[in-house]
Amino acid sequence: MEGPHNTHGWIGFDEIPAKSQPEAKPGASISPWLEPDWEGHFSAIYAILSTANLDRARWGRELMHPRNYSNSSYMELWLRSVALNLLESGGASLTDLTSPRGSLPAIIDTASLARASSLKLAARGESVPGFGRPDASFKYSSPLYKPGVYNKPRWKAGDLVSAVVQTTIGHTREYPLYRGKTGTIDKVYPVAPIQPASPSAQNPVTYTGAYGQAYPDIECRGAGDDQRFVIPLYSVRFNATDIWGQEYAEPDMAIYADLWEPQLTSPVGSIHESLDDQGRLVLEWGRGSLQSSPDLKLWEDVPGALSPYIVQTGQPSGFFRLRL
Amino acid sequence: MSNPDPASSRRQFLKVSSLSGTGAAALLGTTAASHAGDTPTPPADDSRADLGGAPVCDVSATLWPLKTRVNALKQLLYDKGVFTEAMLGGFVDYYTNVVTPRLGATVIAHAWKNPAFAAALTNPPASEPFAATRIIRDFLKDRQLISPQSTGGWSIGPEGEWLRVVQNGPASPGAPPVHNLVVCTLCSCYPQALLGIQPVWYKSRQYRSRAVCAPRGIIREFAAAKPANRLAPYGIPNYQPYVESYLSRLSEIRVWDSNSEARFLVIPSRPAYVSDSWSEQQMTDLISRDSMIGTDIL
Repeated sequence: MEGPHNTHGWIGFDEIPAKSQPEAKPGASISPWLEPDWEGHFSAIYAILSTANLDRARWGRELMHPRNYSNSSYMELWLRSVALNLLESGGASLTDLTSPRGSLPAIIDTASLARASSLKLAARGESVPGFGRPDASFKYSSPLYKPGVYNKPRWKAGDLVSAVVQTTIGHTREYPLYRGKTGTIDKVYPVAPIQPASPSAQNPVTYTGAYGQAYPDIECRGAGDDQRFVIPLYSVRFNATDIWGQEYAEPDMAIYADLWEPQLTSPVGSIHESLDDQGRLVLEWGRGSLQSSPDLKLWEDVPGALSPYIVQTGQPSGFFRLRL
Repeated sequence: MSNPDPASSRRQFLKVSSLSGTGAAALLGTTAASHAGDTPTPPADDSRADLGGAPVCDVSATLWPLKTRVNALKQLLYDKGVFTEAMLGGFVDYYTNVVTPRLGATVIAHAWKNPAFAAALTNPPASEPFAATRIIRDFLKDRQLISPQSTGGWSIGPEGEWLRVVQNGPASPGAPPVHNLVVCTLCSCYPQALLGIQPVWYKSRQYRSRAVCAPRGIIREFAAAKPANRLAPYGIPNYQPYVESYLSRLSEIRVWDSNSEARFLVIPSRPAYVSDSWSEQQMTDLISRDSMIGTDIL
C-alpha cells in the first residue's frame, strides 16, 4: 500500500534511538528494556497470529490512517493489525475489540477498523503485477502462474532487469524506491514445496534449500489456497545511484532487494526471452509495442500483445521487435 | 479578532489564521460558508488537522495507553481460548533461554576459526541458495544449542527458514574489502532464529529510512555512541578513528533489504587483533549482536 511506512531515504528523522540498548544475555531476559509480561507476551501474540498470513498481517499496519501511523509506536502498529485480523477472521467480534470489558479498556476504535475494511474492499478489484485484474469473484489468474504449482525461474543470475511500476492499495513488498529502477539479478531463489505438507516427528521435513512462500501481492488478500501463487523470487542488486541519483546516496554503494518474478521486466528497449514450464516462448518488455515480421522487412504490431507475451506454438517462424 | 491589515506580511497572515479556522477567509474578506443558512463556524481542531493543519493524533486522544490495551487484548485472547499464559510464557522463555545473540555469535566464531565453514555459508550452490540454513541448523544441533522441537526439524527456528550469510572483508583474496548492512525498510524482518528479539533501534523509522541511502553515516553514528577506549585492551587507544580507517578502506558497502522471507546474517571482518590463538569461546564473547547486522565495527 502507498503510505507513510514507505520512508525509504528520508533523512529527516534525526538520530537513531536506543543504540545503547544492551544485548539479551542467555537466561537473563527476552530483551533488555522490554517488559516480559506485556511487551514480551504481546510479541508472542503478534508473532504467532501473524504466521497465519504474514503479508496480511503487514497490510494491517499499512491500512492505518497516515497521521496515526506516523504517531504510533511499533507495538501500536501491531496492535492495530492484530485487532483488524482478529475481526476479519472471526477470532473476535467488533464488540470484543471496541468496547470496555469489565475494568479493561477498549482495544481499538470502531472508526479505524471500519476505515481499514473499506480500504481493503477498494483493493479487491485492483490489478496486480503479472495477473492483471481479478475476475468477478475477485480471483486472480495468470497464463504463467498456477496456484499450487512451483514454477521454474525464467530469469538467471546476471540478467539486467527493471522493476515494474505499480501503485497499489494492496500490500506489496516491491517498495516505491525500487519501482521502475534497473538492477542486476544477483541470485535466483527457486521455489519448491515444503515436504511433507504435514510434518511430524516420524515424518520430518526434508530441507531442499528452496524458497516456499507465496507472492505477497496476492497472498495478503487472504483468499485461500486456490489463490496461493508460489512464484520464483530473485535477489536483485541495484546501484544506489540508480535508486537515488548521483549525489543523494553515499558513493560505492549497492542495495539488494528480493523481488518476485512478476515484479520484473526487461529494461526499456529490450525484450527478455524465456521458456515457461510448458516449454512455450515467453517475451517480456518494459515499454513499447511488440511488432512481428515474417521476413525482417514488413513489420506489423502484434494486436493486443501485452507483456508477458506467450508465443503460441505452431505459428510460422518470424521475428519480433519493439516499437518504442 | 481585529480586522487584519490586508497588506500584512505572510508571517502576520499565518499568525492570524492560526488563531481561528476562519482566519484565512477573514483576511480575504469572505467566508468559507457557501450554502444559504450556514452559520460559519471554525472547524474543530481535529478536522482542521485533516485539512493539512496541526498534526493531531487520535491514537492517544481517544484510546487508553498502549500497555493497558495490550493487557486487554491478552485477557480477551485468554478468555477466547486462543492463547494460554503458558503459551505466551513459552515464547518469552524461548527467546530468553534458547535464542539470544549468543547463538549467532557462536556460528560466527566458528566461521572465523574455520574458513571452509565460512565459505560453505557464504557460497551456496546455485541450486540451494539457502544452504546456510541447513549447515547452521546441523552445526547448532551438534552442539545441542537447538532442538528439533524448536525448529520443526528443518529450519534453525522462526525467521531462520531461508538464511543467507554475507561476509565482510575482501570479496576475493587480495581484493579491497566490502561491508554488508542489514535492514528491513518496511518493518522489522530479522534473523530472529540466530539473534533473538530485534533491538529497538532496528525497528525504528530512523534506521529503516536512512539505511538505504547513508549506511556509512549509520556506522559512524553507532561508533560515536561507543566509548573511545572500547578497544584499548587490544592496543587501539581511540575507537572512532579506527572505524574511520575501516570505512576508508571499503571498496563497496552493500545494504540488504529484508523484503521477502529470506533473512540475512553478516559475518563481520575478523579484526587484526584477533589472533589464531584465540579460542572460539573468546571470539564468541567479542562478537556483538550489532556486528552481525552490520552497524558495529569490531
